[in-house]
Parts: sequence; C-alpha cells; structure tokens
Amino acid sequence: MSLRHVLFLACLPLAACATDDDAHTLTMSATLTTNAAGELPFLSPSATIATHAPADVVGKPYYVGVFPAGFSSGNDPALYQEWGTVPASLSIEATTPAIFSKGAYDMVLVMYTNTPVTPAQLAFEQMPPAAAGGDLSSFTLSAADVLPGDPDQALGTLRMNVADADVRVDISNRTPTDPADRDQTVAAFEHTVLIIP
Amino acid sequence: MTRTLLAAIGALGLAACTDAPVSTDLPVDPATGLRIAALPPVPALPDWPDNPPTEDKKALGRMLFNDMRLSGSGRTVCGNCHLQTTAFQSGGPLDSPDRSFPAITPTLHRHTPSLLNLVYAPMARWDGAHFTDIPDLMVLPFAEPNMNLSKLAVSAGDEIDVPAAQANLQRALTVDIPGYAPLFQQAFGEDITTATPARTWRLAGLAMAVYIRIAVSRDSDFDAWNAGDDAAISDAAKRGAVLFTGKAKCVLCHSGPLLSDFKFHNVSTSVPDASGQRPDDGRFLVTGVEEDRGAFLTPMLRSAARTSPYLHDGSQVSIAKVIEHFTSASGQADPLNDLNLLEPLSQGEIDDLVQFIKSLDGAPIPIADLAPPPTLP
Repeated sequence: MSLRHVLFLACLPLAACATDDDAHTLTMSATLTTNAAGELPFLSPSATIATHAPADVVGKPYYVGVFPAGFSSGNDPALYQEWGTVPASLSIEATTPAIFSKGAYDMVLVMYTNTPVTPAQLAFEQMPPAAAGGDLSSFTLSAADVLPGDPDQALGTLRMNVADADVRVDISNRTPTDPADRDQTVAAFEHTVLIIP
Repeated sequence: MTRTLLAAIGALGLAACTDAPVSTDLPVDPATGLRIAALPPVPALPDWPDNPPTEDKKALGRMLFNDMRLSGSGRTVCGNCHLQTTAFQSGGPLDSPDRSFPAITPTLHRHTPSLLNLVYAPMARWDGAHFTDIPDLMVLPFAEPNMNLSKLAVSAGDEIDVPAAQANLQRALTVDIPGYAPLFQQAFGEDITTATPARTWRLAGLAMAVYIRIAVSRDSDFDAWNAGDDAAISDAAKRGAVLFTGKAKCVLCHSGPLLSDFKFHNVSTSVPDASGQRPDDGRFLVTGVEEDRGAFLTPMLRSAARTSPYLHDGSQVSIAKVIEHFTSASGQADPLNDLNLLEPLSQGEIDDLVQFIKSLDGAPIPIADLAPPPTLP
C-alpha cells in the first residue's frame, strides 16, 4: 500500500477502551474481481450492473471506518479510521487495533473512485467526503447480523458483533450470473461492494 | 422571501446577547402539555377522504415506486435515490438516477431530499416547482427529463412535458406491463385501459401517496422530554433545544411539529459570483421574483441525523458544519441573505444543537411494508 493513514481514537467516550484480555480486532477484507471482459462489475442499488475499468479503481483512495452501531453518518465520530490506496491486486484488508470490547459496531469501506479526496481529509483534519456517483461502498442488504435489541445498521456498513474473539468480514464485488434471477440478485447484495448511484 | 425575519430576530429578546449558562429547567406548560410549544409532536396521520388509504393502494404504490421497467432507461426506480433503509434519501450529495454507467450522467443538480413525513408537507422540492399536492408530487418524477423516467430526452434540463409523460406511463401500465391494470382495478375500481392518460397518472400518484404515507418520523426522544420525561434526552440535547428556540434562532424557520416553516429562505448557500451569477437561483426559477434568488425550502428536521449530507446541494456532510455555516461569515455572504443577524456560537453550543437534532430521531418506520415488493406484475 502506498498510502495508509490511520487514526486511532481509543479514548472517545464511545470507544471500547477495553483491556488486553477482552479487546479484539475488526477486519474487513474486500476483493474485487474482473469479468470476462476484464472489467470490474458492481451492483447498483437498482440491481443493474455497472462497470469500472480496473485502472479507474487502482490507486484511488479508500476509507475504512468503525463506528458505534447505528451511528449517525456525518455526525458521529469514528472509533477507528484509516485511509489507504487501492492496490494493483485489487484486494484490501483493513484490520483495526485490538480495541473493541463486546458489543456491536458498524464498519464501512468506501473506495473514492470518482470523488476527489483532499489532503486535509486524508489527514483526518476534515471528515471524509460523502460518497457520490461512481464511488464504491461496502454493502449488505439483509439485517441478518443485527442482533435483537441492537440499532439498525447504517447505510453502507457491515455489522460487526464482538463477543469473545476477533471479528472478520469478507466482501467482494458480487453480481448475479443471471440478472433476471431474483434469488441470485438478492444473494449478490449480501456482503458486496456496491457502486454508488 | 421573509424579510420580516429580520424584525422577528430583533424581537427575540436580550437572552440572545448574553453568554450566560443555558437553563434547561423548563416547566411543562399545562395549557399545551409541552415544555417548548413551538416544537409540538407530529400529529396523527391526516384523513384523506378523497383517497382513503387501503392495503391495495399501498401495495400498488409500492410496486410503482420500485419498478424499474417504468423508467426511461429501464434501469432506475424512485427507491434508488430515496432508499427506504436510509430515511428515504440516498446518503450522497448529488444523485445520478439513470445509472448510465460508466458515464454517470445525468447527475441531478440538487441533493435528494428525504421523503420522511412528506405526508404532512404543504410544500415540497427545494424550489417548490410544480408542487400541487402529495399524489402529484409522487408521480411527477415520471415526467422529469433529468431523471430520465419519462422516455424523453435528457437534454431538456428542468423542463417537463407532463402530457407526454402521462401518455408514456399509460402505455407502460396498460400495454407494456398489462399486469398493472387489474391492480388498479382492485385498488380504485377503475379500468385504466379505458381511462385517460391523465386519469391513470392521477391514480398512480394516489397509490404512491398511500405508500409513502406511512414513512413517518415521530415519537422521538425529544418529544418525550418535551412532554415532561426528564430522562428522555441528555443534558446536552436539552441545552441544544433551548438554544434552538432561543439564542441560535433556528426556530424562526425550523418550527412546528416538522421543524419547518415550509417557506423559502436565502441562507447564503448559493452565493453570486463577481458577475452576479449563482450556482443555483433556487426559488427564483419558479417565481421570477428577484428577491427569491438563492432561496430554498426550509427542510424538515425530524430524523435529520439520518439524512447526511445537507443543504440543497448536499455540500455539508455534518449538522455541525451546517450550523457553522449559518453562524459564520459564509452564512452572511449573500446580499439577499435572510439570516444576517445570526451571531456566532461556541463549539460547545454547536455540539449541543447537534445533540438536540439527533434527539429528533423518530421511532423506526415500518421498513417491511416499504421495502421493494417481493413480486411485480
């Protein structure tokens, strides 16, 4: 990775601040794969499939953030966040320090393939920009990972439930082989990388 | 535009001129049952005697809202920008509803507003254009070239051709997708295969209005506190509520149960350049009144913490940044600005206001009834 900025906000009131014994890491791994035409296909929210050339994604900044479950986007600070650059391998793996105690968290990955990111944003002096058309975001359709009594997960996030072990989630640019097959399409919306409309 | 705002601000009293600690010990007024009468709870859903809500209408509206075959490109639905899971907005600054990737155009030139509480709104859209009532508002996007739902050219900008769109929708619902006609029959007792395009258009709007009717943000923690529950919100949120209705003067525009006066104000969010050109003339585009340049509809604030980014162009990511804009030089940069008497707030006061607005988050909406339907005709 040519660029990796990390901000560890360990002692925010909402952060875990757990002891070594009960603190765990969160890992999000994103793998992008090309189709037969050599393009990167992505689902859009309307279940259409849009593509990016790999060259339009490689080298672009990505943001990973961990927030309290059900956070208010733009208004609640991250418990942990980092910037990186999409590598030529098109595989990203972001692992937090072991700071998260038992509880629910929302983790987001955004690849800014279209939206410019300023140096101040990369330095955490300003908030990351809102993702816009053509950018890529983590996404899962179902609320299967939201435990009873926990808040709904925020848009573009994946719910990370910490119990007594580190938590890992894998996502990829999943698309249905037959876009007319509703079950396939619904399945492709789980743990996917979505293109922002 | 509301020039009387200036006088009203002046009448707010001496409290605005002090930095004294904010008292949150507000009694409940026996007459209103509220601590802050200017921010009452959301009322019961309105009766629609001319369009009684039914399950059939709601189900039909849900389909129309989520059927991409009705779009010009065949690639988009209302729910693409008004996502049910995110307060019926998109989370992005400016949307490209057509999804004509990789050329991601046309991009809308204004931020997609949330549809929460639209059922109560006496005015809608950032500039109020074409607004008559909620059914017409719901079906109007089928006529908008920049949303490409009308099978019209995209290049027409904001000009809309409703009769052409009505004919297109009629054809789509009766010829292209014949399965819709029985559903209209069931919902309204009318045969759209023999109805005029204008009538079918209206029925589609009525169905979509019944669908969006239940997307309501209400029963927030603030409402509980306002009715007397001391423990319902944090001290910071209480201070924010007092600031909101006092020193910060937000309540001058953000008032009533939905925290909007549903009027158009210039808050220096589309400032003219040296040549006098604005990025967006706002309400002026509808009225032609010079004073309306750069004025936009006051947005509702319930569940606003779920609808980042903010302002008509989606240019502010956080509520705090919006408040900072209003209370700094940038917020007074427009010669037509309505709010040029606002005074700076401390960071602590801004934080308190944010906590108050977050306390306006309503009880969960019935997502299961609002999500894309399992089947389409």
